[in-house]
Amino acid sequence: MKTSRTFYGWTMVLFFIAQPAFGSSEVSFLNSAREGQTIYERSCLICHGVSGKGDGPAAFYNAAFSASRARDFTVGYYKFRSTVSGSLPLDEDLFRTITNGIPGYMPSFSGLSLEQRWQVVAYIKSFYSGFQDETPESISLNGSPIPFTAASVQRGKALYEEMDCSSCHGRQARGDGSVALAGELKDSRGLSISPNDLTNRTGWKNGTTARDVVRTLRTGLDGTPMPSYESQLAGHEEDAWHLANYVLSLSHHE
Amino acid sequence: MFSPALYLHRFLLLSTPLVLGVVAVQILGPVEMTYAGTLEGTVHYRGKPPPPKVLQVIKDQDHCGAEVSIQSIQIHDAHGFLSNAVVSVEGVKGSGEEVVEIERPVINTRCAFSPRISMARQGQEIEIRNQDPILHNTHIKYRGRTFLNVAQVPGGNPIVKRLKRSGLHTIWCDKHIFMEGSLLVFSHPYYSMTNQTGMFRIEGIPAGKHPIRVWHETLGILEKVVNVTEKGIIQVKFTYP
Amino acid sequence: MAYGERFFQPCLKSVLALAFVLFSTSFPGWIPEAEAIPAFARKYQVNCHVCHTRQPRLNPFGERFLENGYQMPGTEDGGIVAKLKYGDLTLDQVSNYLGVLFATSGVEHTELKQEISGSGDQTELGTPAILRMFTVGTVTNNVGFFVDMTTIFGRSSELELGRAFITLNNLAGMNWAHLRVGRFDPSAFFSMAEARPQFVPLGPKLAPPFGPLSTPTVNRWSLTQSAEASKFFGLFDRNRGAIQPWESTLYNSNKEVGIDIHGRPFGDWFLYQIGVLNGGNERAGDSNNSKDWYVMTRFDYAQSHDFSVNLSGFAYIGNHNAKVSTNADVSRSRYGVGARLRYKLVDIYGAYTIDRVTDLPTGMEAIFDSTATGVTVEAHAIVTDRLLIGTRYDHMDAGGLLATRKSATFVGLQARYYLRSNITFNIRNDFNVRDSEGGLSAARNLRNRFSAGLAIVF
Repeated sequence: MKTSRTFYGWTMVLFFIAQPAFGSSEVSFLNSAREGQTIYERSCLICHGVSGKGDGPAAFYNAAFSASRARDFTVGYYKFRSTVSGSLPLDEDLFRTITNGIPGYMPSFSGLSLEQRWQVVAYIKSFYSGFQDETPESISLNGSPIPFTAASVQRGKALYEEMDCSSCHGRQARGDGSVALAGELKDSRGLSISPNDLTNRTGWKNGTTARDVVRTLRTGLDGTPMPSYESQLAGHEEDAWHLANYVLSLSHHE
Repeated sequence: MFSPALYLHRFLLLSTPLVLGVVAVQILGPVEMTYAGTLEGTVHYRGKPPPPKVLQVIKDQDHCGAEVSIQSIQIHDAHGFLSNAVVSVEGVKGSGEEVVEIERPVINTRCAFSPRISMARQGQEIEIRNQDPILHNTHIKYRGRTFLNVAQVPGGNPIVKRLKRSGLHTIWCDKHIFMEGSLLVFSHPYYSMTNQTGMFRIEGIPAGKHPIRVWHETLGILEKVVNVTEKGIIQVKFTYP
Repeated sequence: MAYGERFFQPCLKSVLALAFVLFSTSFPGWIPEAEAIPAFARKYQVNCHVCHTRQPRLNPFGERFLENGYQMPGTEDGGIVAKLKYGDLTLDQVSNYLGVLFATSGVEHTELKQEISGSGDQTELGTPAILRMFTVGTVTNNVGFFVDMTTIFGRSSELELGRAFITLNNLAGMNWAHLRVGRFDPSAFFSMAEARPQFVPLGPKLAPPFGPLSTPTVNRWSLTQSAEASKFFGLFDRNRGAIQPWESTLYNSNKEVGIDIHGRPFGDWFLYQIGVLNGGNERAGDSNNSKDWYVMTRFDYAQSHDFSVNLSGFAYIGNHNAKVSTNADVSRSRYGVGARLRYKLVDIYGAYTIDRVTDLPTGMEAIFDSTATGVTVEAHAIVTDRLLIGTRYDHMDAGGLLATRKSATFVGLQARYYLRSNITFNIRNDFNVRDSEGGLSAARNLRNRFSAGLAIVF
């Protein structure tokens, strides 16, 4: 009896020495997830499903024959990240998607309070165990953007060819590259997926600022054919900004 | 913020003395000997292999050719010895030895992955290279989840990534959908691939009854339970279909 | 300039130009109605299919959006995504509140077996045609509105007011009570909503006598949902206009004036609705100062596997809301059950209703059947990205004056081709299951009806 009590006492002492912040943060995470569940069930479940598999009763209609279907939160890949290819997203990435929505596919939930959105983030993460034992590898997207100048756009245009963006997005960047026209592009669920028309900004799912475009280029869109160019840009990251400037120059500015 | 890495780190730091104690007891106490056996065998394919899959190339025909013919069932002589089948011992844990860091390249060359079928130990790294004068994207999927999807321009930087989980990783290139490959990752060292004459050999297997599994990219999986004894060489023969 | 405005203005011009051409060659006609409000797609920057299975049918998300007063569930924000902000002043983008529907039958061919008055088989071109404008949205958190106005070419050149109501949402707590006040469609949340059939009603042809308490001669039977129909022969509204047996009435009327509350206080599985109406198809006012009331409950399962199902039942109690030919008031009531099942791209739904007329004047019971029933079952499948096929079964066991009443059973087949998600061509054929029974009645004479048409919403 004495032994077990001593053991318990020591364990508690060790626990508190080891992780003074851990206890409270775990509790608050669980509370967030519980609150998040209530919001999820009202705002998200109809598309993403009760178990987060993206099989809610309304999801199918928007993407019955082609991508993008509602995200399956149980598999662990995400398109919109600021992390390396194959990595889980940061909480901020999930938060951003909830806030902005995805043009055409998911409405903005900016009407939820900041706290509520973080709670939903916590709940969404509970669908996939990897969030507990993997650390997302983020890509630093800081650094000053290259100004939008004619020279930068020109450099971006050269890079567009060099990086072979046209195979999918087309010479005119209308999403009509030869690989796309052949109908060979598929997403992770085997659904046909078309590359974005880079001349029409309204449909860009990952955002429309230069930083958003740079993020897309460097992280890739997991689950789609869009690869990460991170390692190709290593050492000359400013090229991503030139390319972004070129892409932005193709659509008119609101 | 909840940080599993930090927690783990602190846990390890604090539990080290305890672990050392346990290890000391293990060393000073009686040590059980483990014996190891060797498995040898062949994989066969019965019958005539189907005609190769022929795919039209719609991109980079100058480099990749107008069409690509893929024969995944490679047979040697009349006995039907099948190459590129991966044989592994299931249900055994890896011995405690360190995972050896050896180069595990997946090379994009002549619009194909080389090697097309590869194996690795969990914890090792793979290195992806592009030797073609055109852009490739190497897309690897593991259990429905993107493991990696990276673009490589001609002469682009190689990409290194650690294999954290065991199981089948499928590889393809979205730009050239005829490019396919597979990477099998194991949590133990007891695996081998049949050579051109359909033969394989796995050494150092702990004694006991183990299921032996054969995987082939198009023919699927075969399994047999084999009693591995500490001495001698156990012979097995697998036959598809 | 906003994406919506760029899109909207040229489209409106071309719709109006097209409307003018058709208007200048006006025919007598009927309403091929449809419901889809692209203003919401513009406002929330989503595709039509976020809310619709295929227009005008709603998917479960669209249903929750509708119930929530045109707000995405969880974002009761007054539509901030659609508002430009200038300091404290918010300026709404008008195109995010306006929708236009234009629909017409390109060709309509009717086979009639036994002529009641004159003409034989008929083929008509370009008729009927309808132009409907919607103004709809939220003005601030949990306060919304809906107004629609319609012109039916040939029938009237005026823009006629349809529904017009205000919504106050999430009263007393999230999803507890949503209020509608004004002129609205009571059945909007029922398993089979009146305004959202894939098989739009095909109109009648009427001939004199017109006038108070007189029943017009029916030259061509109208094809509507039997479960929603009046089902009685020889009834009149409180203005003494004839209520035809096929007309959508009571709980399933498109526009009744009243107050209505619905909500899901216990979670997504259960919805209640209660309401009070002036009743009697009266446009405004309440001539006999008595009210109709109704209650509806609905049970939903909508969680996963691309599957949802709901069951609902209602009771609508009328109170002196109709007349018979003697000008005496009678009360019409309706009881009904409905169900809907959606799995992936299949949508099956239907309703069964029982109508009863009470308070009949003495002596009338012998010549008036006071009970009628109707059943409608529709099924659709989306077979390709652009093509929808469907079938509908309607059976009306009619009531009313025994001398003239005739039951009717029709089966329809339809294919809809979506050129884009907001431009639809459709071909459709309806045939009379009971045409061999004969008899001098419109419900027997209409043998077959083919129509091909198109609808555009912007």
